[in-house]
Amino acid sequence: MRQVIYDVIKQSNSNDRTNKLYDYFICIVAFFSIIPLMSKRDFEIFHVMDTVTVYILFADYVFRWMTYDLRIKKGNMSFLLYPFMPYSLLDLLSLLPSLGLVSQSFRVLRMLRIFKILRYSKSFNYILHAFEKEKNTLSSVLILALGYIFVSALIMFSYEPETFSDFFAALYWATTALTTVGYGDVYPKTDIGRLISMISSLFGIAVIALPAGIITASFVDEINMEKEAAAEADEGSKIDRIIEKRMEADDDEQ
Amino acid sequence: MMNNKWRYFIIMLLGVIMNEGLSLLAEPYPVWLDVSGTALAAIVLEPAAGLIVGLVNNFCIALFKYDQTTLIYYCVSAAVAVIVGNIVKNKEGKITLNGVLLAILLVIIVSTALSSAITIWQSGGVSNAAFEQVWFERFRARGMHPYIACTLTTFIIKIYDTLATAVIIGIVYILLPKKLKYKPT
Repeated sequence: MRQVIYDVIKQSNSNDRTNKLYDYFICIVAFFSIIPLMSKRDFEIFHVMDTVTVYILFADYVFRWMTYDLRIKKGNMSFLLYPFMPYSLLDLLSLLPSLGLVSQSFRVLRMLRIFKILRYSKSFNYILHAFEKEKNTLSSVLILALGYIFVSALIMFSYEPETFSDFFAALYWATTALTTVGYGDVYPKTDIGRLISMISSLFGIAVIALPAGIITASFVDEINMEKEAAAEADEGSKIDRIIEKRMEADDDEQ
Repeated sequence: MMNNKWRYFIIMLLGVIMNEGLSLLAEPYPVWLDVSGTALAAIVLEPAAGLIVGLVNNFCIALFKYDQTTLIYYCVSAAVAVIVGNIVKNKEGKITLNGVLLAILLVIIVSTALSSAITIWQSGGVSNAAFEQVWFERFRARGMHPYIACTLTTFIIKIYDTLATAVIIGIVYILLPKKLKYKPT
């Protein structure tokens, strides 16, 4: 019975119609479940929508849990592991507000249901792989960027203490300036302050732009690898077909 | 000979009807009896069948009796299905007295722990059910902390609820035709 359920719910890479239908169905349900978050007003239809979609997503969560051993082949250990897997944690967190286990002020957690849709997206998986592959480099760049923001804020705060109410305001200024957001609510007033701001912004852009370049390069790599793998698989199937034809021809000759 | 798919369908349907019917019949009394069908499906078929019967039952309870916040009590049904489905029968597939007694004990302990934990998490220990509130208030009147009062209330109710459920399952199992009890060869 679990095998039947697993065959239906497993994420499809093939052209299996039932899998595909189930995938589409869950994506649609996940999308409808977040629609109520887009409205300020509390319509009755949204309650119905939330109730129905929660039932379906909850059932999906249970089905995935009870068939997880068939997916990772680790026996009974799989059932203990499942709740701690990243996607199942996201699923559970997204359901908690509707199950009354966290206060309604956390209803924004329902937004995490979008990951149900994203997990079926190839592009999203490429980006996830890109992050996974470059996690060490990205961590280093993140530490560098945080350090740079901290130092910029510290220099500015020591030169212009009267401009900032506290050090947190200086950190806020450094972050918005270096990420080129610049709301303009906090800005340097002295010439030295402006000079510091100019220099730190010039270097800051380079530091902040680094992760974007790393992720883009890794993302392109992932796509190229996928294309190569697909081309190899295609080539392999062509060779198989040629061999099959030759064998058939040999059989006919005999 | 009956097709195994039909056997699954009939037992699971019977499980759902038992869960819903018995919990409706038990409404005037201080028992739940809402996992009898779940346990029956887990024993006769497999734990997964019990899990699905429990899921349907919890959907019905959430839809028609309470609201979606009661869906989380599914973990109690799930625990019952897993315990009963794995312990009641021995390796040869025969029901043993030791298995039954151990399953009853485990169901009482685990379902008490889960139910009271959820009730405490959701409402600080105050249950929706009137008969649970009676016990709860009795313990509170003795100066007990709400969490302890909730756990003790759940424990007492789970004892006779589980025993009553065990008796009902026993009777239904005896009355069940052989072609439904055993997998067709």
